[in-house]
Amino acid sequence: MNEETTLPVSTFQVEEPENNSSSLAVAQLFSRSSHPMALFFQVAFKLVSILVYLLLGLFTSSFIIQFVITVTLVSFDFWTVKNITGRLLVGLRWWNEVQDDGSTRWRFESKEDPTYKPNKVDSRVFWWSMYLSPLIWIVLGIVCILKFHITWLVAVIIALTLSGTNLVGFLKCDRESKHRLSAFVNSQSMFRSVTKLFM
Amino acid sequence: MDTTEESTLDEPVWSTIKRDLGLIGRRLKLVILPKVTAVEMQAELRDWDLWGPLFICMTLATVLSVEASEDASLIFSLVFLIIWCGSFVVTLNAQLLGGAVSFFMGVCLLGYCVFPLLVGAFFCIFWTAVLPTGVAVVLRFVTVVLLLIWSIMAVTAFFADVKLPEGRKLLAVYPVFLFYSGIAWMILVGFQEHK
Repeated sequence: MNEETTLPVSTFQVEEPENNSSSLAVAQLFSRSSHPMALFFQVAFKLVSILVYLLLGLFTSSFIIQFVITVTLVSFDFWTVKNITGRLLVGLRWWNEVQDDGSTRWRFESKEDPTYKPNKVDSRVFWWSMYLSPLIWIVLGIVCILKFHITWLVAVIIALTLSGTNLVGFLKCDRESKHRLSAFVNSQSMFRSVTKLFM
Repeated sequence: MDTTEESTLDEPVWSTIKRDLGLIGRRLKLVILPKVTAVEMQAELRDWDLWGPLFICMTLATVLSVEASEDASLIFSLVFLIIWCGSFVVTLNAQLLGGAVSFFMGVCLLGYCVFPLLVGAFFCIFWTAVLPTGVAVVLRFVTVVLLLIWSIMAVTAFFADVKLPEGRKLLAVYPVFLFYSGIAWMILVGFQEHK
């Protein structure tokens, strides 16, 4: 994962030992974020889709309503993360395009500015939620298979495909941007050493 | 590679939403009136999306399972599976025949082209509600067959562009025909059992 996502852990925990209440911690998280709205939607759609999948059955006996709401929320999450929160929280965006011969091509966008660093809270929450959501869906899928709920397995497979694709897209994008950044730094240092040579 | 394509990292959220909604609307229009040049078609398909297919499929599955009254959840999942697995197999077939079509592109195209059949299902609801049973049966059959032809015409208009080797076009279109006929048959049978 990102180096910067592991770094802030220490500073983060030092400052909030008294705040045991989780709501306070969440409030603090939002106050430190540079895009609180994006941060909210990054987590909200994932959380609500899982809650609807697990709990809406208590309030309605209709399989269809529960299924449609779950799948809709999961796809809203996919769209929001891929198109909006990804670029706001970590400055990354991926595309998968079809070329003339029918083959697909990944295209990655990252901030051109080499000094750009995503907000620490933002990138931590982003990557944690990205890794956790496919994991949770895998667990739910295994439960589905064990309980032999084949109809629900369809919903879980959709959720897993979407969250998994998004994770892979962003991981590739992140790697590509690091690669580009190091290439840029290398060319800069090379330029400097070359200029030194002539001065 | 990024110099030719403009960066979209800093665009406002609203313009992202507007662009993608516009995309879905434009594609539905293409399916309803399949009269565009090959170049436009290619450009449209290159930037695939699965929104249209997902909502078309979900609406159709809901309509059919509500109509079925018993075993609604089974029918819902069945319609879902048939549409996605069907598009997968048909796309794979076109690929194996040497067509220049990517997986997502094919699923996107086949999903959007189910739209006329979805319209057909809504017509069926209407006919069943207002007409006496005998007339409704005939009208349902006629509407679904007409809209089936519409769907297949929309797909073949797109398929004309995937650069299949000569003589293999029919082999690629034939499974499409089977696939859509299957969906049309499901719609007809679903309403038949209701009455």
